[in-house]
Amino acid sequence: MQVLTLIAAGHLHGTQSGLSVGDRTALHFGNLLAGGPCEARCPESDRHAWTYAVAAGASCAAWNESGMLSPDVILVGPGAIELWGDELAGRLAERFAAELFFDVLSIDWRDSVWTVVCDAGRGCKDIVQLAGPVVVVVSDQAARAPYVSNFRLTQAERFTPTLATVADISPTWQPVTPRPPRKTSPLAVAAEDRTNAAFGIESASAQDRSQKFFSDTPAVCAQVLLRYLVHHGFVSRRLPENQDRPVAAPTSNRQPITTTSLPQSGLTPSQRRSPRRAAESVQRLTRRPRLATDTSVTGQESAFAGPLQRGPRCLNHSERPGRRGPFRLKSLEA
Amino acid sequence: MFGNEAITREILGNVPHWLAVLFYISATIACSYAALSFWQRTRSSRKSQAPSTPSPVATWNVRVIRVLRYLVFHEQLRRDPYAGWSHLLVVYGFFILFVGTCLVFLEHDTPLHFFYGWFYQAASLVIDLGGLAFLIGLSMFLARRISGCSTRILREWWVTALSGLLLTIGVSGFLLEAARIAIDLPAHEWCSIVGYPLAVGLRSAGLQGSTAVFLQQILWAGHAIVCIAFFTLLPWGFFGHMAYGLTSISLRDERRLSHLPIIPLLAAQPPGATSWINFSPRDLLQTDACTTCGRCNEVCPAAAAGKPLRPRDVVLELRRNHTEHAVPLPDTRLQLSDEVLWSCTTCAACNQACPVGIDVYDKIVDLRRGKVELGQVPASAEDVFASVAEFSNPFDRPNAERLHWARGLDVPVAQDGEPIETLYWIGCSGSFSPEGQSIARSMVKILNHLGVNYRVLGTAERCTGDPARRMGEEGLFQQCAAQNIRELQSRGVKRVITHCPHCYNTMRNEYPGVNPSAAGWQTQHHTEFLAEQMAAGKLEGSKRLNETVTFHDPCYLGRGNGIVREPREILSTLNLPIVEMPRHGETSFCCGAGGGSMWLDVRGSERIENQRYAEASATSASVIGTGCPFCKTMLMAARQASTAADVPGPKILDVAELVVMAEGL
Repeated sequence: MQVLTLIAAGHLHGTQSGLSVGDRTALHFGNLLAGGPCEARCPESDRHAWTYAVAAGASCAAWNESGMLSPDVILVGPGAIELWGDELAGRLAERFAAELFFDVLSIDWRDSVWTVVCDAGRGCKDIVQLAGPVVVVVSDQAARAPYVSNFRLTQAERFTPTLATVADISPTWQPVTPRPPRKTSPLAVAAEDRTNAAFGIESASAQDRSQKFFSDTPAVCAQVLLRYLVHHGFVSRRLPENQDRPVAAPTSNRQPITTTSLPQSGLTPSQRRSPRRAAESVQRLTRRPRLATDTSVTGQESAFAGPLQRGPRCLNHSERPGRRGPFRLKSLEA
Repeated sequence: MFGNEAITREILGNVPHWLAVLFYISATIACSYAALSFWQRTRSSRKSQAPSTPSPVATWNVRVIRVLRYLVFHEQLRRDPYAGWSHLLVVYGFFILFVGTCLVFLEHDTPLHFFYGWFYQAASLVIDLGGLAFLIGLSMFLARRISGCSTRILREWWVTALSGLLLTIGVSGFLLEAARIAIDLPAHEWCSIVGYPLAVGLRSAGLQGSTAVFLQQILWAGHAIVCIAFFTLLPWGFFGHMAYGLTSISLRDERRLSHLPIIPLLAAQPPGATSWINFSPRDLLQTDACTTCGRCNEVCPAAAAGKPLRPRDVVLELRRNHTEHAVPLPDTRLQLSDEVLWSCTTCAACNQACPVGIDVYDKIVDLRRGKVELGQVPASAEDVFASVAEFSNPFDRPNAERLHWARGLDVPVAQDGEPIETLYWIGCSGSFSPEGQSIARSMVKILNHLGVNYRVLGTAERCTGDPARRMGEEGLFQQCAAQNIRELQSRGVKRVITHCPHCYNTMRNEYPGVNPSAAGWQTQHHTEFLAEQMAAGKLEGSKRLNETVTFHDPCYLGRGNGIVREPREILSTLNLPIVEMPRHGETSFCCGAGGGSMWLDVRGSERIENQRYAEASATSASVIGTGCPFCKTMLMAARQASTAADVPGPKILDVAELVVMAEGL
């Protein structure tokens, strides 16, 4: 299994601090899923992340988004999110046609099915089962990773490549560093809203429910709606042959944050989120087909209005046959 | 030379020649087998991958004297008088019988001729007395084992069987002697004070002539068989302690009980142990020496509190692991649960109690190191490690708060780079816990009163690394030690005074192992300092305190470093009557805070500090005195838990606080 882990040390008062619990856990999950050393990526100048990743048994390299292969799972630590923002996770999910989860407490791969447990807030958990590639942002509330001893960290420092920025740091025993802040998530909002935000959709949190409405030109609105529907598998990216592709309106005075990632001249194969073919990979054989048999945008009616009001991931209440995509098994009161 | 040559006996008389030859062959095979087993075990121990320890050969004379003294006086064993005297009788009896057998061998199988006349009679008398002592000692052991009056001994059938085998050797030896004498009942055999009366009894029972000869042959054969069985089983289990025990005692390091030797951090090998292969040959030899006596279990505070740790089980598990997995495989880890390992308070009572010199708690710390390297540590321990690494104290508080205890006091804080002659080391507990802060404030008042030119490091002070080390984080400890040694060296410190026995033990005993230059300053516990000042007449205790004190000896002070006289001298100078608890001085009982147990909490049926508090309260003393901030914290917690709100329990005070009260500071 191809496992990729993105981690970065936290920053406290402008100073680089240690790795947060979530980043450590992301590495641990990565090693577990890979059945050995996973591939870790961290900022080139991040000495803490490099050292910790090597000490934890991962193979480390500098973060280079353009040179990535197609992994089965990408584990993103809260430190990396703090550094690069939620857009990173969204961009990766988009690029690798993967499902995206925030605030993940645990992830397991068994019988070709992913089981992802997300923190749904207020003591609730979402347990989602699905197939196919996933991008998960590990929560700081996830189970602790095994302790990495000072001896291992010291030994790892020897193998950490000498970087220009690292050389400035004192070469003696590890200097005392401030502890990373213990917070639940960088944005302190629900995972669902972060997922929407990562795809350019406004937050749907209760306090600013009124602000979720999108005001822009019809073309941009249509584009965002399309992205939303495509992301959640309600429609396919395959457009009718005779249909003009949507183009962002040049008159828009407000650009959705993911507009630039949507190609102006159609979707690339890697961005296509049509039902996966059995031949694509062994792991994807069991992935359930997407809902829509009619994949044209023009054929969609407002039948999705009910579920849409609840948010994209709350699919457990829908008994409609043919519902597709990940489904919630149950909600647990903590 | 020795008188009448007729006064002797025929050796191997009436024993058929073939039987004697068979005995010699069997005995040779049995001894060879035993020697081979010892050699194989030693060779297996040498496969250990632990870092090599200093060779004991350089100090062989000291070690030989230690063993002889141990054998002659049995000081360690006689801490339990019944077991000690039983063992003394068995050892003396066994030695005499062994020498007697050697004399018979020399007389019979060498050209030497000395076994006659008065020498023969004297030897017979001594050998019979030795045999009698051997039987009495063994009977005492078996009586205790069978009656069940001792709860600490291991109730395994094979231990009883092996003791029974020894008893059979003794009894069959006397019966054989009686049968030999009964054949013609010579008068000069009266000096066989056990064999002769038995022979008279056999004669009076009608045993004589060919029947007596036949009985002698049967008994000789039986005696020979049990002796050969003994030789064969010599390296096995319980019997092995005869050889391994003495070797273990001879190889034991001369160090204070709380002193954990520094282990080198080698790049190729992580610290710690998960299976026998990670222990040194000496550690493995120690496990072979275990007699399963259970003294370690008896004194262990964790076991007393119903926690899952039994020190003997740790030793036996290590021995089993070594025996069953001579070829180490990845899955040959010791079968010890995490709760067992994290229950230890590192009080060193097990090391102190062990009669064959097994360093039990050293092994537990080594196993904890192994757990740390595997990443399997309790969350609370991980928090302590993180706090020590990031805040330089285990209390999870910013190091900038280190001087909060000194508000309102005139405390001289060392400036950057200022040389220090006398350093008052506050310690993390003194800086952050209310109980420790009170001791630090008292000490500062005393030091100011005495006009001592001292300094405190303030926020430049860091944890000594003791909690991390006792919890198995050796790398973190060595990091803390290196930083502290560098700090103290840069300031040219001559003397360190501290009120924390853990800091005292670490700085005095363990820092020189990290960096030999750390031995350049004198480390004093505040009880030593105060006793010294009182002896010089600088502190007298001008105010009369109407209190009765019972002193709780902290493990790292009393047992660990032998400081038991100084606190009592201070209390005596203050005219405070002392009532001792049953367990005091070097054999004190732990408060339950050591070894990181201040932060770890493995559940038991009872809490250690509650047991100690109950013991202290039973003395009816109005004050429980102590010399450690951690002990004070634990005892205060126990008082809070055990005392009804309307009945105030005894006060819990450090000796420094008592001095301040008595001096009116």
